[in-house]
Amino acid sequence: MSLATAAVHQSRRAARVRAHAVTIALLLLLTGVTVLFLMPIFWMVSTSLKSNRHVFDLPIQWFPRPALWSNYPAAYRTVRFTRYFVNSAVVTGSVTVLNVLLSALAGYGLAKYRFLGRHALLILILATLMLPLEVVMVPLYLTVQRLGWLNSYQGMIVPVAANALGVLMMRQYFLSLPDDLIAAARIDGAGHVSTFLRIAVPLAWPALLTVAILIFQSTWDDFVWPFLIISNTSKATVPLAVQTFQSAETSDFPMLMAVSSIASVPLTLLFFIFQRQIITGVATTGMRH
Amino acid sequence: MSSGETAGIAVRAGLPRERLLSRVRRRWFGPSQPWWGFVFTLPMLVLLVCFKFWPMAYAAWLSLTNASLTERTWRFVGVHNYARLARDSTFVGALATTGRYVGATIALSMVLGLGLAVLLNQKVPARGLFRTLMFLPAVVPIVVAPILWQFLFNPYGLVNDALKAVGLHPVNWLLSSQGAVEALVVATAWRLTPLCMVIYLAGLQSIPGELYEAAKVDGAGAPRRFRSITLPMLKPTFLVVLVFAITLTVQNFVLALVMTGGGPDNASTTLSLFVYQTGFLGFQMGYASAAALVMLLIIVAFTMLSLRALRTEEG
Amino acid sequence: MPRSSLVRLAAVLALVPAALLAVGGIAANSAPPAFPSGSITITMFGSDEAPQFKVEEDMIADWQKLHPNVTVQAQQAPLGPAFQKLSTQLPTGGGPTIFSVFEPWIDGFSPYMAPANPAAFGLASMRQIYDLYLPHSLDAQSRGGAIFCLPSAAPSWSLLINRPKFTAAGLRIPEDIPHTWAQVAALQKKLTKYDAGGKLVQRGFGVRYTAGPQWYAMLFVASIESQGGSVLDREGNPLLTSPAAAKAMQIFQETAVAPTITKDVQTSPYQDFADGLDVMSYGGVNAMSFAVRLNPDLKGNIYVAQLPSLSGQVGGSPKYSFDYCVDKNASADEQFAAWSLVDYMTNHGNLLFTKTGAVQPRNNFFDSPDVKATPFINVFRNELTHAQALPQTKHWGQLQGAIQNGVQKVVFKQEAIPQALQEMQQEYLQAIGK
Repeated sequence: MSLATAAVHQSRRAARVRAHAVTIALLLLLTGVTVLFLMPIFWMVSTSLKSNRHVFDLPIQWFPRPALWSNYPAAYRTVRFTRYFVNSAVVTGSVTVLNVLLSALAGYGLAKYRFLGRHALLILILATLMLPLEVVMVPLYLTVQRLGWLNSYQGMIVPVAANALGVLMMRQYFLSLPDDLIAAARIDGAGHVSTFLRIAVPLAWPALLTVAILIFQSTWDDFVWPFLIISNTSKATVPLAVQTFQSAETSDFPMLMAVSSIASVPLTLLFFIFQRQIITGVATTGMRH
Repeated sequence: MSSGETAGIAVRAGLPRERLLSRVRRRWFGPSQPWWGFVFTLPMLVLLVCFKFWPMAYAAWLSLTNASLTERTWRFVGVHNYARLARDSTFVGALATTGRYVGATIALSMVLGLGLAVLLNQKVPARGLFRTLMFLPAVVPIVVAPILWQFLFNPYGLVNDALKAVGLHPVNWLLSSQGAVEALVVATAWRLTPLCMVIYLAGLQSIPGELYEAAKVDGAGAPRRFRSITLPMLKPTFLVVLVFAITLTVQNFVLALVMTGGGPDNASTTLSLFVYQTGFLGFQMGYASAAALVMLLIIVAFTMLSLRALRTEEG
Repeated sequence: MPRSSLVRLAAVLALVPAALLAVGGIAANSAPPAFPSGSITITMFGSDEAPQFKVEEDMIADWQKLHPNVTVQAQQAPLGPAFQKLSTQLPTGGGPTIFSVFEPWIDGFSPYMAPANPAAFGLASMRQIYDLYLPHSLDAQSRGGAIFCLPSAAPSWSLLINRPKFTAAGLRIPEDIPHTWAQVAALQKKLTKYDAGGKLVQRGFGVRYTAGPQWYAMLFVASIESQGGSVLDREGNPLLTSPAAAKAMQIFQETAVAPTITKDVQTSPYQDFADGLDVMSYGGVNAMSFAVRLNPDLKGNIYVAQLPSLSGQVGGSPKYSFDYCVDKNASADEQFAAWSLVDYMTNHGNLLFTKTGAVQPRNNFFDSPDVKATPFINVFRNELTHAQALPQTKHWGQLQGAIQNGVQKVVFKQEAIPQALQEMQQEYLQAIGK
């Protein structure tokens, strides 16, 4: 082996060792941060396996002995979870799909078209994000009542889908996409809508998924609005189930934590799938210059 | 497309009437058909009008009355509610508290969220797992989060033990004026950071990898690359994260209600808690609506400033 | 026929329909209106607590067997969100037919409540409904001589003592049990213990400062009233700077021992007592069952005595209630059915009691065998009979908030009592817009 080749091998090996060291350092850092960050969650899961008596023992007993795994099936049965899960899935899924679709359309319109008044429209739309539900609850309830949507799925879906956050997010994302491809498609004679569907949407996949996750998270967790308009428990959603273990004078904390853990599973799974899509779903588009 | 280009295209297409088109018509009905932008926005706009604008207008109207949840008849009182707000020491205190609370929370969350997003965008093994784990705080039901933090902030609890372990003084968290707000900041930021992280992650995907490659070839180190490429290219994302963080923090009163009750002595009473207490516990919907509208105006003003500051050439 | 006979016959004939009318009229007035027929649906907000709601569901099922033409849709309703839901639905003409309220909300929601219908109880007059209950126990639920709600639970607070820990300190039961708040403060020194590391491990008496403002605001109000004073005058102006208020505030100042050390939370207010941190605590009959649920070792080890007062006499305890009300916007038939159901549920208070310890001021309640056999029931009954009612005001929310802040100023910021009371008064006036 010539001297030059050996030197190259050596430097390559050194580079690999350096890369490994960096990776290990990053892993350690991440692990430390994660453990610190998830302390409350550890306590939540640990509590779900205790008996009510030992929930608030200090110092904290992280690994309960005995671990009451039976709390989980007991919690699931007490609350008749399946019904609640189905309702939540229907409502949250519909809200997410509706909101992502309408937000993508609106964001695209605000970002890629220069019509007079678009700036003012954006401000107006953003203003709707800032008002707390409590203040608008009464007129909102009246509106839903007049539409005849009380105690119905559409009453839980449509008003909640009116969320401007997705609009802002999509607008910003579309702004960061260069105009060239879109202009090219238009000059080629493609219609506005087909340009949107065939060019813009695939490019915006990460943003669409992100909006989906955010809307899914906030809708899945929403208690006040479904409780307000649903009077028939057959249509109730998961947060209402979680509430049944709490009252003004006593609570069954282990069951509450077990129910919360169960309630958290769908969103966690969904996120795990989506986050891969967000990162790897950006196909090389040939757009980068 | 600028108006010059539009005009240029019009001339090339041989439209002599172009000179007669008024500015508005050109901006809306020019050859690039900008009015389609409005059409695209329309569906969401309809939804927002029915379920957001109309209730907001109703709330604005309520703020000019002495509406109460328990009285059948209301009287128009003009700006009386607003004048009363100016004299209300609880409201003014809530304004200051909200400023501190929101400022600290979004600063913490935006910085931490960015750090985590950048970290988890690198080629680290099991990064999918880490990302999912870091997302868990946002997944815990909102009714459970205060219970977790109340226990951790117990004077003999985990947080104080950790402080003692590193040689710091234990803090009276939930029952002191200073500690209560700090505890709320931590609990809110805990939940907000993963959500910011997610938005940042999406934004990071829009930065072309070639830019980093080119910078590496030029000999730029990681901090330099971060400052010169990542940060500027994330400007559009910053606005989303900022708006999102403000919205979530300002509207949230469940954490304050359960963890501290707004106390001690209104030290942790935020604006949204004030609105809730006045409107619902106090039945005074007119007054509460006025407070909510003041809150709205302040935030909208702030958002407009941010829009201007975080403007890119196209935005 | 002779003329005189005709006249007599006519007279008799004339009398018959009149007599019939008279008899029929009397019959119509004395027979109570029948239960409406036809299919009726009523909706109901039940208790916020799972065990209590379960009992309600069972009672509803039993009642429905008696009235099969009525469908009842009941919902378990957590207190805070229930309030929001009622505040939104009732003013818009909606709302459940039967809803539960916390007593301070009664004044606020009274425009939407229907008065009790004696016929639905199988009774002839409102007076007879009052007769079913202990005297003066329906004062808060009455307006203008008519009853608008009936209690599903009407607790008052007594002193709860962890017997083993109390006697372990060398104290005797019943001789050393405190009757005045000053005695409680004195006992604190004897019963408070710290461990080697300086952590509080036992306290004589703990006021619940972190479980919600009602736990000390109501005590404050009751203490003022037990001295013969009032919290609000007849026009609704606050009397929070009165000498009676100052003496009431002293209770909190003098009994506070390490008030920041607590595990009580809004959804578990009896935690410190169940953990053994507080040797003495306070609560109603249901408190005993909650504490035992949290710590089974307490079963049979809780001694109940009269709640301390400023004077040492009985009457230092507040009383409050959770009540069933009927929606005024419901149809007459729905209201009738609703009141009938409410009557049924409140009549079977002993069923509720065995599961949850909820006390009813209804006469038959204290006579039922389950209740009679409960240890210390006489103490609770005596307390309830002498307890202080909450002030009737639409502004209870603001009043409680002002008291909450005032007490916190004294206990956590060591503010002087006169200053804290002054600020409390100002805050209340500001909150109600004066």
